[in-house]
Amino acid sequence: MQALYSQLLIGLINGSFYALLSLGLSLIFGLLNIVNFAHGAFFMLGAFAAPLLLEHLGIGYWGSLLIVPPVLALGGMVLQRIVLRPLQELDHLYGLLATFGFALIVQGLMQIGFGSAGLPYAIPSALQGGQNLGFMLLPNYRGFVILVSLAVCASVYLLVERTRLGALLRAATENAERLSSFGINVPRLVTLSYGLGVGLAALAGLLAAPMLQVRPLMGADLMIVVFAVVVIGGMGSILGSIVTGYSLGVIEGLTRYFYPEASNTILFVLMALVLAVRPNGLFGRREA
Amino acid sequence: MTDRARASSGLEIQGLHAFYGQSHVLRGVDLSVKPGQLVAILGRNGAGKSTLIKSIMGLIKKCSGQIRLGDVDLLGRPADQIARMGLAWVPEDRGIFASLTVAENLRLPPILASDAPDEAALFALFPALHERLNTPGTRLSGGEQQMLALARMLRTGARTLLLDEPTEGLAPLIVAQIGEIIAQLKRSGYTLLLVEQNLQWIAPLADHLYVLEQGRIVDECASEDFEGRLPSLIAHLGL
Amino acid sequence: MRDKAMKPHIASTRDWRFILFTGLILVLALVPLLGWVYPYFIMQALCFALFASAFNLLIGHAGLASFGHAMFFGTGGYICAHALKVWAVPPHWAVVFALIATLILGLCVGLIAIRRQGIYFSMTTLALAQMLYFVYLQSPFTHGEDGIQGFSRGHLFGLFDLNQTYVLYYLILLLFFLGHVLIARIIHSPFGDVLQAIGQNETRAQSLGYETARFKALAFVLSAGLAGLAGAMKALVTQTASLSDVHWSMSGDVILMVVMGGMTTFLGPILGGFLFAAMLQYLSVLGQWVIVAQGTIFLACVVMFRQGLIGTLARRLRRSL
Repeated sequence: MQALYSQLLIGLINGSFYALLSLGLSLIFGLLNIVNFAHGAFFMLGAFAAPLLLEHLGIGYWGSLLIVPPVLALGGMVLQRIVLRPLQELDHLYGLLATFGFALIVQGLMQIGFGSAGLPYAIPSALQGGQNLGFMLLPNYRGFVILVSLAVCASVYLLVERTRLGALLRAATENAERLSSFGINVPRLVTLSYGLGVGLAALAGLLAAPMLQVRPLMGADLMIVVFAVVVIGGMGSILGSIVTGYSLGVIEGLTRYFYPEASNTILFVLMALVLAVRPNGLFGRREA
Repeated sequence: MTDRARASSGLEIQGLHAFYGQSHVLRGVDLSVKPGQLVAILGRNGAGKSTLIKSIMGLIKKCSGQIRLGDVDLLGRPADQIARMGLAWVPEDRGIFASLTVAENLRLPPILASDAPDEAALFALFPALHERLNTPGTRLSGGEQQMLALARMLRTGARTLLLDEPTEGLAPLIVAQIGEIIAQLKRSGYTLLLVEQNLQWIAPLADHLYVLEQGRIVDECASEDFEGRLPSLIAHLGL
Repeated sequence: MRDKAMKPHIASTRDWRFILFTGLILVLALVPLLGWVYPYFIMQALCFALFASAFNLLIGHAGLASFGHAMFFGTGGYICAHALKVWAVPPHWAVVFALIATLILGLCVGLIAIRRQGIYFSMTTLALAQMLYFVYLQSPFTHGEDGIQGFSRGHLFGLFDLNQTYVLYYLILLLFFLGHVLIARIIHSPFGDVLQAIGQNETRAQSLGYETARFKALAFVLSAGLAGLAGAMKALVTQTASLSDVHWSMSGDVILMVVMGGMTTFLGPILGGFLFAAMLQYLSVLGQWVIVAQGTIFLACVVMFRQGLIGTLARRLRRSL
């Protein structure tokens, strides 16, 4: 049983990353209509930021948590403004290729700088140790990651569904031209939502830094799984992204316990099944 | 900016050409809406009426000619800037966002002028909206959606309104209600440019009528001459 | 929309491609006699070029941006290598097996992937390719990280010893030629016209009464088979089949080849394949900088140079190339 619980825990952790990443992808997709292939690169940069800030500036985990997501979000907004905005009117393929190219550059540079093996990063001292839940031992940091990601997912949900900014985002997703005719600067909104999505990816990376190995390809490999998650859930709804993210993480964890050989492929198999039965995904509303 | 939105500005269009993809939709349109006037553009489907409105709003990329709101040339400005000058567009399909509630739809556009009507005043004008604030926008009936679309733009304080077929697909009773509201707006000094197909309804309201055909103004008359010109107007519209 | 205004309607514009392609084949046929180019470089380039052309059948003509085409390239290589090494069949059968396997794989993947459009299609193909990558990583016949290597190429039809460099060279050139003839035939068939129509506006093609799903599936299968053929050729040339050919980065590489050369052109992917092979050959001293260079070329092509080299040239010359 112990092993089952710990696989479930890992599933929830992975699910947290899936949810944060697919949430950002959905936000970006809603307004830019592109798949952000650079998402994994921002995740990786978020993870790398933690050990680098510690080593060079002496900034610890908590400081990084405050600094890294906004800074990378800003970087994302610059990328969107300079590279992606001019491509917006063209076939969406170009936006996708541009983000892919950007991801290659970033990954390549990080490989040159830090090798493929990556950097170690310790769990912050306040979160070391664990809680004995009776049926299992819950490492504090893992519990922290799950709580933070749940809180962030809930906040993003509330932001989009309950605030004026969220109403603007939803309206722009539905019909950007119409919204601009109301006196709203839609391009600025698009840049902002790209930044928001990137910030979420950076946060996920930072959360992952003490747990996963911080290496240049960590984001790219994870993103392919997240793409499967997104195809299963559909990018139409915020809640859908969150729910699919967590539940697929758990399903993957269960598979690792019951049939470990399939744990790498289960999500892709599920994706194929969902496509066969419900081509638009479980929560999908509209076609790209 | 606030000042310009407050004063009801007139609209002067000269030699407007507009292209939609390969097709040349507007072929030199001249028209003028004086401050405080209600001007209607009549024409059959495909005459270019909606394109004309969209060109004014800066939503047609390929345009040439002149469009002036007060003393500002609008051509080439982005749509959101044009809107913030106090020009409000109520599109043919009402433009209600399905993923937004009535309240969110209503409060979506930014307020442009300090003397913009407050919500109490709007609900007095459109009582049906008040009790349905939390329903999704597209659950409203066609008439209610039109009311919401109007209320939404009035709330910004814009004083020059572009209404694209406001009566289309609505029951006669609602059409009459909308007529009353429009007449009231005109009395309070709004400048209105309407696109319509319903001649009987618009004739008594309008100060001036234009007939658009194949991208050109082919006929026009002032309200004093309606009676005499009715047969030729009807002929143009193919009624 | 991508620039597809260059779609040929006049027979004479086709001649340029025909002349240039024939010229290329003739020059390549003479290469062994000249002896100043390393034949294995040309052979690798031909494999990549055919792979790129196969891929371009989808992206350039049907508007389908597959991000998982490495699965066909890599599978072709694995099957060919496995057939040679374990089943010890002659090379022509190894290539045929590889072709059949990738056609079947293409059919399975295609039927799933074409259920979604646009970027969902891209994500789906990428995810399915990654799934296959994990399968290959775990299954014993691929020998995991080591790959399949150390096999003899055997005798073609019992006559031609493919272990002799120039015999192999002409076989690869022939397969390259035949593959492109097939692609040219596809593009200029009524089927190709429908693909083009789908690529430009799928809804309109549907409203014209075409069952676009079937056309897309067939295009996908054909493209997969040709990519598999290219993979089998590469296995013959390099005498290895490894995970790197199924990895997602190879799917990215083939997109790079097509974008560099020019989507929607016939000769662009060929040039792209040669440029890519040259990058591997001559830039390998740069190590990881190659990836940075690739990313930069990607960005530069997309931002400033969307027609690619051949596409830009074609525009200058006002010809289809």
